[in-house]
Amino acid sequence: MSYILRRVFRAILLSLAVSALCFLFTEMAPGSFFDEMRLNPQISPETILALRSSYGLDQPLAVRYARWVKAALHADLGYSIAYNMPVRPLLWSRAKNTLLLTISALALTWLISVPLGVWAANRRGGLVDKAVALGSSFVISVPELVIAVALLALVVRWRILPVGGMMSADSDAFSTLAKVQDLARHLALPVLILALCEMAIIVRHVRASVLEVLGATYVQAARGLGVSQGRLLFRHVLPVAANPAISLLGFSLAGLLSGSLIVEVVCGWPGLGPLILEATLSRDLYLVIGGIMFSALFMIGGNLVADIMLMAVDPRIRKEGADAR
Amino acid sequence: MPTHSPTYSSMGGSSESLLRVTGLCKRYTRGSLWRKRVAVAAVISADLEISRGQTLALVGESGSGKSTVARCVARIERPDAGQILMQGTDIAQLAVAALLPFRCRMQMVFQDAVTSMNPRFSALEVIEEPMRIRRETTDDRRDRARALMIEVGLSPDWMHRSISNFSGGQRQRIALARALTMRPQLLVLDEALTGLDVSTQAQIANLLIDLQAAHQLTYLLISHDLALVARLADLIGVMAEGRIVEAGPAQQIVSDPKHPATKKLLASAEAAAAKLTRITGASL
Amino acid sequence: MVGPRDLLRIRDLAVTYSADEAVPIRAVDGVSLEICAEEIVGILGESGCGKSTLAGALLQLLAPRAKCEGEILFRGRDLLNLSAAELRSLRGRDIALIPQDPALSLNPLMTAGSLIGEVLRAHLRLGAGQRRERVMELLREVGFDRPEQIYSAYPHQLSGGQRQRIAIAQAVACRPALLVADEPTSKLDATLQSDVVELLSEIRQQHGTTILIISHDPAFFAGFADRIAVMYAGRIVEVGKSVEILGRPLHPYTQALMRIATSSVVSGARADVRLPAIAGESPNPGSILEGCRFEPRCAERMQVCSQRYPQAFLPEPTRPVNCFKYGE
Repeated sequence: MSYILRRVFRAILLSLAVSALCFLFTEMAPGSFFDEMRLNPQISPETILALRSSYGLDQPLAVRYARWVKAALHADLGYSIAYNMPVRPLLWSRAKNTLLLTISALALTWLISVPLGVWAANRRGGLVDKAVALGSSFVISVPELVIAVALLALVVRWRILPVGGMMSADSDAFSTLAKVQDLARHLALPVLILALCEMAIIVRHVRASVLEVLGATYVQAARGLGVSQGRLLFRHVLPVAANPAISLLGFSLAGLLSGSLIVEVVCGWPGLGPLILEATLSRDLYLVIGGIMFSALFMIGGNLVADIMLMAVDPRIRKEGADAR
Repeated sequence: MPTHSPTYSSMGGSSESLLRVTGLCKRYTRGSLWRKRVAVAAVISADLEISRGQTLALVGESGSGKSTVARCVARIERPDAGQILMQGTDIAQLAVAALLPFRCRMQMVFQDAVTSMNPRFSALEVIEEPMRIRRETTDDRRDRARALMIEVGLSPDWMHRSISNFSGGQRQRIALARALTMRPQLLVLDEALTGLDVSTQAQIANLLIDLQAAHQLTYLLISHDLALVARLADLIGVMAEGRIVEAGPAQQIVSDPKHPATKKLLASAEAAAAKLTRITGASL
Repeated sequence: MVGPRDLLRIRDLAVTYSADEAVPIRAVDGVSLEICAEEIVGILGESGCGKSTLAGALLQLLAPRAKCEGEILFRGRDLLNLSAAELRSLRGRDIALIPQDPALSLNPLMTAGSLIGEVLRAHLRLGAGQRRERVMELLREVGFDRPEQIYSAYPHQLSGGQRQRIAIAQAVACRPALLVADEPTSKLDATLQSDVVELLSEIRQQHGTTILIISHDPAFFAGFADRIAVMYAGRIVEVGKSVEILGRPLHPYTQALMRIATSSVVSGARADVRLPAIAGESPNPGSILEGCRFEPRCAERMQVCSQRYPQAFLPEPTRPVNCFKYGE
């Protein structure tokens, strides 16, 4: 328990640090939202100043940061200048879409990678192992963007799936079941792209991890005592091999959340990525900071989940936590 | 429980004191900012003294703290309290930079030659590593490595063979050669003879004896095997639960043990010996 | 000594590792040995002599690139010709291995109870409750006073001696006819050696288990093994009753080993410090030697020793020795 509390505390500290850095960097970035306005001779400098102060942009950095933190604790993340609405609801609606996408992709990735990796390691040098090695090398060496665009082109040409957005234009008229189906069909392509790229990496790690454990003395000893290969793999090998895999899961989750930007943009999926991109380009300060914080929180959360899972799986870590008391 | 300090004076010798440890203490703490610090005392208090050319053996069961003492003396770990006087200078709390001149004077040899050396390195690379750090020239290094290999009983033709191709005993020889590059005065042998075959152990033990005679080396030998140590050591210190519970000249400890821990160690050694003598009828 | 009570008969076993180098390595080079039921037979040899490979070959647990030739007859069946399924059912149930290093041979994420339970699961049909009962019994048998505590302990919470006893419990769980122990005390403190020896003796006493025990230390076998086979460089060079091998060794290698073993006793005089070590190293497994393998290090070598390999001579009945001292 103390282990978890320590991790949570660390997570909070980390979030604060990220928010501070975030603030600092966006401040250091050249330009502000009002630069374009300034170039417009029709808008007087006084108007701009007034606008700026109404958004609180004329205060010194530290004050602004303090105010922001205070507001954030009340779940108020500021105001988006471009969209002219509060940041939080805007972010949250998009974040939900990204979460849906990423979690589906994560589930697909791991559901396929783990059995595949185990199979490849179990029959080392066999057909599946070679296919996995070749396939993953290929996917890793091709940039995600290229894969995304290629698959997009295929899908469009063959009209397999709808492309763009989350739902079809006339989806309001659908029954619930039809709505779900429609969502699924729109989700398929981005999930496929994300999962494919992630799988290539994960399956190699799983394979390597399983191979390493398969060679361990205690596995040989168990085999020597007559434990069948199947039982050996799932009861003796996997739990130990899971350890590095779980850390990877945390990174995987975290990475997917922030790395889905390209896929979202290419497939037109209305997620967090495109929003942050836009906001950064237009220097929409609070939206940018809010967006980055969301992203960071997902990442930290992902790692926290991984830590907790690790503790549940590995008794040595539980002991370490207990000993520290 | 009073601690005992094996000193050379009980041997009647009058050579200089090379190493003198007083009140050594090392705790391992677990915990952090907001958790209560719990200390596990590996070494509660240890005193010992070795003169130049002598061998002092620290024996005890696993967990008695003897390896920790060795590591503190070699300053691989920093003791929490106590003095370690190396020829008069206290090195217990010296900073890393100040320790450098002392590092040459004492070297450590570990038990598991397999894990204390990079298996991909060649014998030459392993032996010359300390010389590289001191930036000696390539030729000097090679010549010295060659000489050392001969001295420890290895053929210099094997210089470029990788460590993984050497046997356990051969690796220990390489470890000794590496330790000797810096012409140390003190060698800390942390279970360096443990885990070797009976025949290999005998060879390495003889090598240690020869090297000691040739270079006036001083040994701090750590082991759990009292029988082996009784032959090689001048002084023995018995450790149990973080303290030295009995100490003195080797012959005395072995013929007249007082502390239960010593008696236990001796009993198992003698039991093994008794079984053999019953069969072989060898008189001792 | 071939008889109806033979449990294990090894005939001309050779294990070759065909590595990447041109010269294949013969780790075991023509070993023949018979073991009767309820015997304790020791294999004495230094590291590299092939004794661990021999143990591995019995249960076919060697690396895939190891090729075995010859015959290993266990209760009449040739172990080298069994299918994978037959081998799996044999391992742990008829023949069980006690590994060398207890720190490495127990799965770190499994409790002692599950570790022993796994062996039972693999071979016996027992309900969960029965399995637990049996595990407790086994824990008591190997010397744990509080089996309930140990049952749910993980390996990292146990000492080296305790771990070794768990490994022994695993090995005897299904009451195998043959136990093979590969240097069971070399990684433990010297004080624990007698405990393990006692435990194994008791197991033989109570259950009639045959034990094949491997060690590099002659003292280990004293008062424990019935017979000893001495191995050197992949071959057996001497076999005989334990008291005779240790008390009156005939082969020069065994004699040299015994000189070291008897000298390392506690009350040895300090004046004569150097141990009577054997000069030189045991031969590289990859090297091919014509004559006797021990010849380069032998104090009593003769011309013929480097020319031909000495066959088994019988200076006394039931004491074969592969040395030209005893014949031509």
